[in-house]
Amino acid sequence: MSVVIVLMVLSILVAGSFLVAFLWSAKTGQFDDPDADAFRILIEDVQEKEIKNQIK
Amino acid sequence: MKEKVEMSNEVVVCYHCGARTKHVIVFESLDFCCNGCLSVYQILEKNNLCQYYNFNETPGQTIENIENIDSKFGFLDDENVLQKIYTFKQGTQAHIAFYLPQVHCSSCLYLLENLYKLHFGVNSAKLNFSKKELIVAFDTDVTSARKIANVLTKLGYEPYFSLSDIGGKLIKPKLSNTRLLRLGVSGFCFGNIMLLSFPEYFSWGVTDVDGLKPFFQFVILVLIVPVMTFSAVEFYKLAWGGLKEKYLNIDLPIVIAMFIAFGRSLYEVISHTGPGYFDSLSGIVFFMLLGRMLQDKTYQKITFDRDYTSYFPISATVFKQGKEFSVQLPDVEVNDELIIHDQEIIPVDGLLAEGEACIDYSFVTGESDPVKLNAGSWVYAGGRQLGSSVRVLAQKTVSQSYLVSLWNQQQKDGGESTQLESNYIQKASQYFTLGLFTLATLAAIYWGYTDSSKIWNAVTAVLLVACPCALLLCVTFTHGHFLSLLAKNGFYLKGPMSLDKMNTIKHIVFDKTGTLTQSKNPSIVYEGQKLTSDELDLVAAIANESIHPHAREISKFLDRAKLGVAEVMNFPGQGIKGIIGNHVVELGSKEFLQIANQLEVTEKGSLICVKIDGKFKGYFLLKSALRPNLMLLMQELESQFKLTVLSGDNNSEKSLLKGVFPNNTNMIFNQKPLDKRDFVATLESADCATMMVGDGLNDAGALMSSSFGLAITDDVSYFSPGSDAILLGDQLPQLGAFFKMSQKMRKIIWWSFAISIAYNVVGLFFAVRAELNPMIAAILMPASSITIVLFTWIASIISAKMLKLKI
Repeated sequence: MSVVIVLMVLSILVAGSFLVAFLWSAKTGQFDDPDADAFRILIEDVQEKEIKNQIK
Repeated sequence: MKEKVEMSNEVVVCYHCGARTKHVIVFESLDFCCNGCLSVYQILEKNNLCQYYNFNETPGQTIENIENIDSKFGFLDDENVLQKIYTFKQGTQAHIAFYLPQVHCSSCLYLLENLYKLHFGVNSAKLNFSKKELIVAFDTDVTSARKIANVLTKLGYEPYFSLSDIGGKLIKPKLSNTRLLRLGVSGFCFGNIMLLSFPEYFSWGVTDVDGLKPFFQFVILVLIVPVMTFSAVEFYKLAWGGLKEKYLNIDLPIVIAMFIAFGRSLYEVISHTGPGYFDSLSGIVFFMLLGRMLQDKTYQKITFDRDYTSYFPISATVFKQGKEFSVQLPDVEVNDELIIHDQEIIPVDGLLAEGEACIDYSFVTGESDPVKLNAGSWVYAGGRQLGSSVRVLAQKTVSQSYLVSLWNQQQKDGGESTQLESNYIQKASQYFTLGLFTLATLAAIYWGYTDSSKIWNAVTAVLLVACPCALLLCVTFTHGHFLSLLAKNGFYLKGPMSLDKMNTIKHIVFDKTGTLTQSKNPSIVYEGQKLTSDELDLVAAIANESIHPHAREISKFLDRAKLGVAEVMNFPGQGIKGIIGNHVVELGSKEFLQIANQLEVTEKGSLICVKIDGKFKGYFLLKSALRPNLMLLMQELESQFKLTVLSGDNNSEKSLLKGVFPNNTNMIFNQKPLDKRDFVATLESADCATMMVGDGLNDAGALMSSSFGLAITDDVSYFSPGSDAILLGDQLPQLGAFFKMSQKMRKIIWWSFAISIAYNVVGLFFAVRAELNPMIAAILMPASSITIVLFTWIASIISAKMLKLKI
């Protein structure tokens, strides 16, 4: 039955990694201003686009 | 391609700001209404930022008064001021948070975050959209805060600084998201503990053949540690705070129950007598944190503890030995000569030394009519000068000025203790706790006689099952739902207790100006010779050139497309004269147009007379109008409350008010701010809980003295002193519904108490028989929590629907 133990440890590790991701994002202020983030994602970086065009 | 000015026969829309205009500046086949808008476009075009116009149509701000911006931010050169404004400073790197009230759409975000492309020396800029705050990181060797402020102003985003930015103690606390972290951790632990407990629930008496049980229990034990030492800390703190102040709050019994549950579970696990109740324990912590989070949701846009400092400017221009200096406001001394420019706020009480002042006291009194004053008269702090610059001789310091002293005195008097829970919830939780301990003792006595080995089991199980967490959940979830529902309807409460306080109100006192009447949208009537469409265009064009609030209202009232005005002469506080095409248009008071002896107007209101080409045409009469739908509201309120109207004006509008208020309403006129405060204080001392409905600083005293201060405002970012709640002006007719909501909230809380007690009774049935096993506890706990969450949510939506509120 040791496979159960391995699986359990694995599952907690996976869940733990999500917790760490959440803590990190909360600590770095990613939940502070959801409105702005919703807009920011729509803004294309013009410079990158220009560079790509030049390469073509 | 060069820009070219042309008159269009059709109305066009400005590409930048969306203003409608006939006076067009065409540039690269795009239309602009003024040079300000064009220059912003040109700046953006040069820097490749024209995406600005792609996200939203006409996202810009109309650029006004582009002159004298440079002198506006003089105080940003003062090292002392800068020290207090910088949020970060190391070497030549500095961060400043600019508050930009104009931010409104995604284009703003795009433009402002690209500030580094527009202004050399800016390293980065990040906008917090909900706070309208732009955090700019820049190099102090290359540029300065003042230069950045100027650039922002030129783009149409004028930063707003107030005295509170430099007021020592008011350093903004960093918004802590510890609670979010606590919630995350407890959620993680709760979920995993639950999962690991399943084998135990479903073992149905099968003995542990594989030796897995100790391992599972060990992992659970590890997972419970962060819940107890990190997530639950908030409850320990509150319980301890209550103990220190000798006040039994709801957190204390919760903490006791948590410790008992933890202790018993630990004992069971170590002695191998059982699996413990760690699953229920972590679940309770998780749900309680969730409820508190919902309840204490803060409105980022609104600050309740704003005081006069957030309205006053940061510095004043002092004239000394022939030179102008920028002096921080607290350092202004008596007999300093201050220069007050157009649109600036008078920071201290003083005597008008030079110039003709036209002062808008709307912030102070709620009265929108500016007051004209000549040299030698007193001016009071808080008024806004309209028109040319004047000189004021300071007679008092900032802290001694009339309004500020009124405010400060009130602060001293009303040192109201902040209560965390309303009385009835406190009482309920006390009875609950008392009942619980009685039950536990009875169970102990019973088992003491029959089977003493079960005492420990029964007592701890009773305390564990019926921990008053359920009460806390009912209250926090109901409050949370109601607060967010009411906020959607423009009614912002300071906290959950404020809503409950509404239930105790017996008397409602209304302020008149600005509360019952609207400062915006006065009723406007035109009397006199009929104006042709062309003449209306002329009048509107001239009115549009003035910054006087009356002219603004007329311009809005006429709603005409802009015409270009060739020449304008502004006579602040008197009128305006301009030349359009070959017409001369004059607009102003009857004295200004020299027709005072020809015109007799008996009706009360502000007169704006019109002369075109030297001929008197007629006048506009502006009357402050009552807000719509007040009559229905008053009829609704009359049955439950005593009503009083306090007005700072004379009784000339009594008949108007009579039309709206029921007959037995008490109306008192000529009330000064202190009189209003004393009136409310007298009511309060006669044990008559009063709700004061008011606006402006002149009502601050009365708002604070009342049990419930309701500030009416047309703009939530405005000043709202000493209030328990803020209500948007156009939502005032809903006040009756809000009162009913507060009654419904109580009912819903009682009902959810009943539900949770029903669950408790089931749990207690097992507990007193010493038969409570972890599985029953683990089913009952989440089931009761979820029922309560759903019940309060559905019930609050139904009550809002019944009162026809927005959901």
